[in-house]
Amino acid sequence: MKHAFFFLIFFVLFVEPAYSYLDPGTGSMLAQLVMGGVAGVLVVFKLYWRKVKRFFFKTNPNPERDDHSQKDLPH
Amino acid sequence: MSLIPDPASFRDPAGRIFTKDRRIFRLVSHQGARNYQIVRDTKFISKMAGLDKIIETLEANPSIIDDPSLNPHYVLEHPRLPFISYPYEWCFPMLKKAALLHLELQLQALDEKLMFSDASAYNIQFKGTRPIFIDSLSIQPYREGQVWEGHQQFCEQFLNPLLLRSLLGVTHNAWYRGNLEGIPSDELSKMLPWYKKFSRNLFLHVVLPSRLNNLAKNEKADSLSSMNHKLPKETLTKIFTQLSSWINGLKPRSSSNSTWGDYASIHCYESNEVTEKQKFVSNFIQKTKPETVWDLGCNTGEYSEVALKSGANYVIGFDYDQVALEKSFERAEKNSLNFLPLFFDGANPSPDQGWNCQERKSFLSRKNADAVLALAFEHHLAIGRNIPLDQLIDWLLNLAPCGVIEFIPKEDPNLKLMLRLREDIFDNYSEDSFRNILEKKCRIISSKTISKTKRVLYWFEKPTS
Repeated sequence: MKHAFFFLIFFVLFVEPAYSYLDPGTGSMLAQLVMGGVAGVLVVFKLYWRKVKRFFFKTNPNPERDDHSQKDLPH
Repeated sequence: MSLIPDPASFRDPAGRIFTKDRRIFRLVSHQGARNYQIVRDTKFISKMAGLDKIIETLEANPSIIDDPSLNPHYVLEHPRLPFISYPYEWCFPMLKKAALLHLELQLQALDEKLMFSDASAYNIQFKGTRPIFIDSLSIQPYREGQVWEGHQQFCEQFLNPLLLRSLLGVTHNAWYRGNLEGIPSDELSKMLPWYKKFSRNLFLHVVLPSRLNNLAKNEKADSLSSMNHKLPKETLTKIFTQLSSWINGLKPRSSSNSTWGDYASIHCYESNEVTEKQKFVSNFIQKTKPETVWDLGCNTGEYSEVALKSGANYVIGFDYDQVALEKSFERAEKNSLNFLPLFFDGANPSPDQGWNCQERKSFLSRKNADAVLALAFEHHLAIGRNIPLDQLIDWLLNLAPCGVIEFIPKEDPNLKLMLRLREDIFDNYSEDSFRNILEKKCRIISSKTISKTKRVLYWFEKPTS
């Protein structure tokens, strides 16, 4: 758990986010899952890993995303 | 008199606040009725009301609502609070106390399988120095595994403003008043030095959530919901407990720029002059018997306390100096005073703002004083902010039917200090012109010179029209 937490800190502090419209509650909920233990940390890892993959393979993360897609995010 | 909807109560479809003949009613809709029944049956609200931590909530007879279009399921009645104040008017220890009450209630609610649907700081009000939670409908049944939906709001409205002062020495009031929803985590995070971001609590509650917000927005909605893990109840309890102990240890970073924090020890009165001033104020309160007094420029609350001890029931103090306000609050707590000290800039007091410019009320819209004290106050506006004397007097007289105003002449050392580095453009500023204007607008009951530097106290009464 400690190692996982260390890597998480690394990703969070040094992987720069891209800016666009944000859903205000999602980050807060994900952070609580992280506080909940390994399972939560893994969820966040998965998100970061996808970001890294996207960087290398230049895949479109969200092909059908449009300006209104943030409405679909969980609240 | 008919029912008047409260302009700040519109967010929650479960119910709305109305006032009628100065009584406060909460109308629970059919949509909110089921949750209300469950919460009521746990007796949590009545238990906390007994401890004065949640506002008393009584079920009233629905026939009191004479408007059939409202059609409420339940009608609740709450006692009226002496004054509604906002987190952007609170000083650090008040916001801290409110934050700790919110967490304490969350913890206790969880024991009863209840959870708060939000974490709005506006749902906490002060009765003197005691915070009290006022929105009974935001308490809802807890669903196993649910996350704390109010976490972000708690951080923005309680935690971040406290951290701003505690870590960076910046007061929250102006920013909070501008934004109304508090201090956003991503903005606070940008201001923090990098090495502080590694501290455990700061990382978990401020840095991580704001980074994850940015991360999550690149994800498809369904990929996020498939990750919808449940949060064990023990984790929730741990989050509340840890936040509570962290906040409990936060202290305001000392501000060296307080002008008046040491006023009680540095003011320019001799001890017999203080006694004279106290006697004058005390006599005024005893004769006029005001229920509620507004003390403008209350400083450390010395004369607010005199007013209370002379028979006033409730004093609301206003000052712009954070250290003075903190000392006021400390005095009120120590001596159990019915005294509410609030942050206020006389030349720019709280406006009507928020949704439809009505959600949060202005300083003037909340006017409820029977008497006003403006001791060593007028020169800060007349000289410090160039407010013409006649406008200033009109403004003061508009606040209450009677009061005491202290006039500070140009010979006074404090005023000399204010004019030290600027041109004296105040030709009309003199005791004579002050008295002339005052006499034209109201009755001067008595006046007294109370210091060697010729400070004068005026007891005024407005003509009853």
